[in-house]
Amino acid sequence: MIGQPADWALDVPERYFTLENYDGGVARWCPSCGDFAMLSAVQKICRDEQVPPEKLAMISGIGCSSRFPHYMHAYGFHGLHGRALPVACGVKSRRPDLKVWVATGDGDCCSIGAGHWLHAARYNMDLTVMIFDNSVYGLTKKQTSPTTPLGLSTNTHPDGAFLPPLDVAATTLGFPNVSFVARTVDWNPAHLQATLTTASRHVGTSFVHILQRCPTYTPKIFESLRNDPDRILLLTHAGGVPVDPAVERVYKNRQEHDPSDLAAARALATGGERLAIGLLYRNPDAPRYDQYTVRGLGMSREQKVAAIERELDRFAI
Amino acid sequence: MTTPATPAAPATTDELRRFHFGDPAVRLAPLAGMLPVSLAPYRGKPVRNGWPLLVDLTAAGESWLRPLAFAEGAQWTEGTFASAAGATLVEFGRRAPLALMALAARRRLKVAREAFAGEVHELAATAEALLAADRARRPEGAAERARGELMGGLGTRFVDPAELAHVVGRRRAGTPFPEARRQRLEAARDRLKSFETAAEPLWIVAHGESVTDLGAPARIAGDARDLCAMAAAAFDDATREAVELARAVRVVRLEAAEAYVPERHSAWLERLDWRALAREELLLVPPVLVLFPGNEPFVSALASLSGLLLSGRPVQIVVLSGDAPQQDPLSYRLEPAYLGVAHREVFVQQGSLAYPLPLAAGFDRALAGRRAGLHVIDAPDAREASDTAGGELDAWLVALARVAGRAAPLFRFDPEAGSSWARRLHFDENPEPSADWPRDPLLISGGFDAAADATAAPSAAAFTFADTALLDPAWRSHFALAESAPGAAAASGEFLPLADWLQLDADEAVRHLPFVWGVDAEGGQHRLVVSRALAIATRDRLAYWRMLEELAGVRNEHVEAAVVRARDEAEARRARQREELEQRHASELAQERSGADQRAVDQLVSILFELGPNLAPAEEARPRSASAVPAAALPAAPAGSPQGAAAAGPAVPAAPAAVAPVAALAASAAEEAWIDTVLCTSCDECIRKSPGIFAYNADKQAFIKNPRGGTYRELVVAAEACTAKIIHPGTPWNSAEPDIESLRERARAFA
Repeated sequence: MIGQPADWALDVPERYFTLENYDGGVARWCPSCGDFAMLSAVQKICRDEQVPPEKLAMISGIGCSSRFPHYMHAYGFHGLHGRALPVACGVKSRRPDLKVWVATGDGDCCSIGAGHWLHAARYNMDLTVMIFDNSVYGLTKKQTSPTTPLGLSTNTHPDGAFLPPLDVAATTLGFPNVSFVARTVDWNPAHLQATLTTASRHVGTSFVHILQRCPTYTPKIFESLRNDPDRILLLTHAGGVPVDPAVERVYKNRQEHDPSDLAAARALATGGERLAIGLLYRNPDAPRYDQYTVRGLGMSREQKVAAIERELDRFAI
Repeated sequence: MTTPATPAAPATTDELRRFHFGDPAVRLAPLAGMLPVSLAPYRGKPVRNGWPLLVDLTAAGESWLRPLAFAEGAQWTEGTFASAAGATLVEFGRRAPLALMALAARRRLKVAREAFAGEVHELAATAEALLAADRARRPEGAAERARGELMGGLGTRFVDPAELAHVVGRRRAGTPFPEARRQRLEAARDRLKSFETAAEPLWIVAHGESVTDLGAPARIAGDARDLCAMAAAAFDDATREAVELARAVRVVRLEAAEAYVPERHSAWLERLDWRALAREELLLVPPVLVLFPGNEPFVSALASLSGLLLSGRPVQIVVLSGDAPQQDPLSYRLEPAYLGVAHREVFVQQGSLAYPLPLAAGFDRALAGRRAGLHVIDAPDAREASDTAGGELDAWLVALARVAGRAAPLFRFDPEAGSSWARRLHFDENPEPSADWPRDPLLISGGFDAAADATAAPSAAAFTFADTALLDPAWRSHFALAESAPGAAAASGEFLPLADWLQLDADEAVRHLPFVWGVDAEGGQHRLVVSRALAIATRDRLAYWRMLEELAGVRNEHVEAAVVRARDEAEARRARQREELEQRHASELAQERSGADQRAVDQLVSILFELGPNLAPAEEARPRSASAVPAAALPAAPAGSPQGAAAAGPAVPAAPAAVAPVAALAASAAEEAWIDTVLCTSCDECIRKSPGIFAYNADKQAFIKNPRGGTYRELVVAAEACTAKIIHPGTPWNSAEPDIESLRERARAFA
């Protein structure tokens, strides 16, 4: 756990937080990395929502994106490969007062941590999960990941990736009890921030699939999407991601999509000539496991001992 | 029942005038068989929209009650009977509201008691477990008994627990409960175990009232007994069981939590009464229902009734109104429901059998609350033929007409719905609630489709209370046939439709005779002049209706004034904002214009500096420009001057030298460097490359803080490095920068 200065325990009233209050260490991603955009967006959301840094927990696994907690001035946990989600669930169970963000990548979440991915969706605890999808294992110097496009040459598949990639958003939409799935791109900061804001306000596990450029290993794979905004389909709805004028200016192709329609969300996530970005699905009524795990949190040690004694007394001989 | 085919002969205008003002000397033949225009097509036809009702006490939610209605041509099917199996059918009639109330009460009781039974059983088991643990702690034979219980019947057949107790050791040490605690727990357990879910509501009815068709057991008050006092006593009796149960529940809950403190809790539990019960506990009390079969018994019992309503006991009082018009038609009518509203904390509904579903919903709401309920229901009258307009119309249509004619307006006053009248008073079921009188009395939300009947002619005339009175034989003598030929009287202007007549002031009203349209058995349409007594009764109904409207916020003068005020304020605010914006725009424009002038002067000065070869001191004043411009590009200094002596280059013709700075100026003025800040991804590239030119704003997105804070090369390099491709270098401000043409070429990609 990344430690916090001791004086944070002193709750000073009337605090106002600026972006600097959320700045951690100097970010050491490659120049031009898309991860900068996510870091900036999360800091701005925290500033806009005035979340005290001591009420934030940034959890990650392993990978380039998983360095995220180091660069935020908040509680952080840079964990084991693929295990970001169970750690986050644990944090939320015991500290429901914390705003928990998870930074994970396409390899970390969709390969090594795939089992946790499924169950985190099912548990639907109140987490905001950013899945940074750069289509490759970047930290370990370009191995094929579950989202590597077919035919892309990598260190593990020099002749090109052999299997078709999985789509993060579409797969998440197939999980039971999933309550929030959105998709965005790192190169449109206004849409990125609006999407993450919507996700962070959702009560339940909100998955945000973020297409993220890697300037070092996959610099070209999103070039066509970036250079030709007509290839992107902007999802709009009164209950969806709010559309900023800066986003409207770039993306001319729009479609009204009701985020409560799961079948339509799946169709949009998987098919179509254009890449759909925006809120795909939201179910605010899905049951949340954290409503169960917080039971007994307020009990003192004596009360716990008394409760155990009382239970045992029922079987006394 | 039959009616004369031809109506009586029309009276003269003079006779009509005297009739209207109540001259006893005028004897006109009584009218019979007349119906309002909009109802005439249904003469003699059975119309029972929504009836009979199917009541299924096992159904969840609001579906426990639904109309057994069929579309035209639909038949009873096997499925229909299947769904009706085990359910009760309630037929239209004066006793129907009583049956509905009893069934609603029975259902509430069943749901509440079954829902509570789970908790009761759980608490009984908890009490039993506590007592078992206590038994095990007692020294005498505890270990043997406990082992025996654990082994069960089969185990004790083969093993002797007493012997086993010596072999396997002693029980764990423990202190048994004090005797008082054990007794308390045993009493609570026994009370919980004796809880039964079956229970019945109870009617309290007056002596002489038939106790059949009430749908629940009834207790008859003797001649001298006060119904309300009897109801209060019955309720107090009925609460006894619930209070004892609640006491047992609290004892076990406290004991299970080891929180029972005898000094504190015993006295408190002793004092527990129905007022302290939780809502779900109060719902276990069998409802007490009081029946007043008309307005008169209600008025007679007013004092004790008020006492009962104010006592807070959740007793439900049903008043079947719809009786004869008041003895003196010129007096004002008593409104029992409005009287109930005056008690402030009582649930009140005024309903009608024509609208059974809202009526039953009102019963449900009243029974679910914890306050008294007063249900004033317009039900068909027991008087002969008055419920069917002398046999001409179906009783359901008559009930519907009484609602439409504002004789029995529908409303519901629910104090639990909120703190304001807007929330407490529900008024929407009335036909055309925002009008004085409805234009189409048959247009109701229940789905009755008048247009489906080809003979139904829509009437444009307002349906007033007098139209309703036309259906009541008791009012029959208050109508007089004016003429049988529509059109003639309209020209004379003597006659005025009653709805219009009511709008006149007193002076104007006496000059006209109010009338309503009636249709005889042959289909002939006639003007029927109404008596002054009926006109005043109609005005009285309208006054009551308007009062209800105002309370419900419909056509409320305060509301309308507030709307006008809010609209004026919004308009004024908008005008102020517009004015401010215009002023700001004008001042910005002026500022921009003066700034532009200044810039033009600066640029002119700059041109003159660069043009003037003999203006050396001014050139020195711009050291950066001078150093940046290569010597070859500078115009030749005149011979003899210090600058000219220093310049070693060849002489350059003056004219071409003058063109270059002008072009540079033009380019610089045409396009400044800019950046699409909202699309910046905060990747640090530009700031790292040229901190003199770029900076972050408060949102950590880059902007150009000083386009001349670095070289044009730095701008172009930053544009090339920008991951979002949002930096546009424009054209160079200093055309003398080295390799400028190549930089221009590279910058073109970001134009």
